Amino acid sequence: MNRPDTELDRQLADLLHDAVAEVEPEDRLADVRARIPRRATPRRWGLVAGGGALALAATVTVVALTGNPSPVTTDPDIADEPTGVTTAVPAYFVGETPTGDRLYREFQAVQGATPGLSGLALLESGPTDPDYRTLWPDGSFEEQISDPEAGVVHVFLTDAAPEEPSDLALQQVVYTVRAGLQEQVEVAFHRGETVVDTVAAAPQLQTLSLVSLSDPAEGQQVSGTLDVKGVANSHEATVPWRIVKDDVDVDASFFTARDWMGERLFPFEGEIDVSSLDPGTYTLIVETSDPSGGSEGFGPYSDSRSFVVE
Amino acid sequence: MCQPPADTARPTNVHSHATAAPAPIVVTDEPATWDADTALEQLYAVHWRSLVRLGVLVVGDLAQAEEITQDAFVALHARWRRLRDPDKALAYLRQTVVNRSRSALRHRAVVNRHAQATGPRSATGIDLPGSDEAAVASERRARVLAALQDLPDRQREVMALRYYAGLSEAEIADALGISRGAVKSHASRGAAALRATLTDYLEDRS
Repeated sequence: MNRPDTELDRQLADLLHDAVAEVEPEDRLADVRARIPRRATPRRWGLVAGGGALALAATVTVVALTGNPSPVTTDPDIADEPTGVTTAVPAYFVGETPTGDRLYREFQAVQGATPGLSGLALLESGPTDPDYRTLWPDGSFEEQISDPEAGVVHVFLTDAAPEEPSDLALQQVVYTVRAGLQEQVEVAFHRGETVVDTVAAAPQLQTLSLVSLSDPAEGQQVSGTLDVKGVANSHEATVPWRIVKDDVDVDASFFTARDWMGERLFPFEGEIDVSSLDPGTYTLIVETSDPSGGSEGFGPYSDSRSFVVE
Repeated sequence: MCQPPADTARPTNVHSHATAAPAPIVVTDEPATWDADTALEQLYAVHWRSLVRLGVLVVGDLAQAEEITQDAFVALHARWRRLRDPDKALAYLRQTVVNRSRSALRHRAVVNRHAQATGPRSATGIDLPGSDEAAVASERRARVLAALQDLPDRQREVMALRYYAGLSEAEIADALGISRGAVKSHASRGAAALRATLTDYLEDRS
């Protein structure tokens, strides 16, 4: 197919070349250059967005990570403070699965979050679920410059970041940035003035745990009803769940996700009546469905949360 | 009229192919040693026009093709260190132009329902002269572009990459992230559909 191999191919090639033969685009090199993020001087953690942003094209958003947002708070006195609205910010953390380490999505309530841009700070401060961990130490990220029109978000790393981040660590950032911005962007990783890597999202089914809980939050207090939300890609959209107390199942059933197969995870949600449970701490476990009962494949993926019945 | 597209030229030949460049650019280094700014200049000089033309074939509109191609070059600048090779960079640029064209078309499909029949401008956004010969050429071009626009996304993309960019089946499969079998199938269906709609401009020599 390198060369047109039939008379029809040759004629179609002629027609397509001819169709655009008189198209003479404007010279836009200056516009392209103007949209490339530049930093006049290396800057350190703690700088407030401002001066640097003026040098950039108007479409570019600059956010300096000025500090760690607070993790989940249910304290109404804090949440009601006028410093900002509390937003659920998605971040991806690493956890074990039957097929090795993969990413789990966790939402953390962040006060005064910049919409779509606070996820990286969560990667530094770490997960609230003790089963997860992060691959990015505190202080890894200096700055994030978003240019969604170009499909790129620029993330500037500091010396605190791993010298050679693993692929999964890079995906932690890519997935978190994409979830925050709700844009299918690539991430360009910078160190100083150099772009060290540009990374697109790896396929979901090879990167994410095939089941991941969004609600409840770790340690959440509940009474009456436990609201559960999450995402999964599970056989026949079935997401079995059970509630465990001291290694004993006290309840079990299943949720149905919106779909299955495909190339992504699908949402599921449901309510579990916990009004008959004695006060105390329980664990909710959700799994992917394993029709073989463990005799084939790697066994089910799972995610869990502790919750407290009041 | 079947010229090889300018984007088959290597950047080392930039002097003779840089027709769209604002100024001649002298290549002094091996591409592997280019920094991102140099790579951007070199690749822009050689490929800007042909990539915009590729975009016009896919998206059917010059202004939008320019926007999309501009985005692709901004993205390329960030990615250069990973590519470090003009051929890979060109493949990346083509892939980005085609993929973004698809997103742009989806977005526009919604907007355009209210803005059809915008007058006698050709589909490329270029007003062509009114002589008979020019009018015939103009109509032919408009009809070829319209025929492409009538194809399903994948078929149109395969047609543009095959017949305009001159890519092989394997290269198209890579660019679109689909199997070679799928490329083959889109190619034969697309060609059959174009043969039917563009029959006035095709000579039957079979």
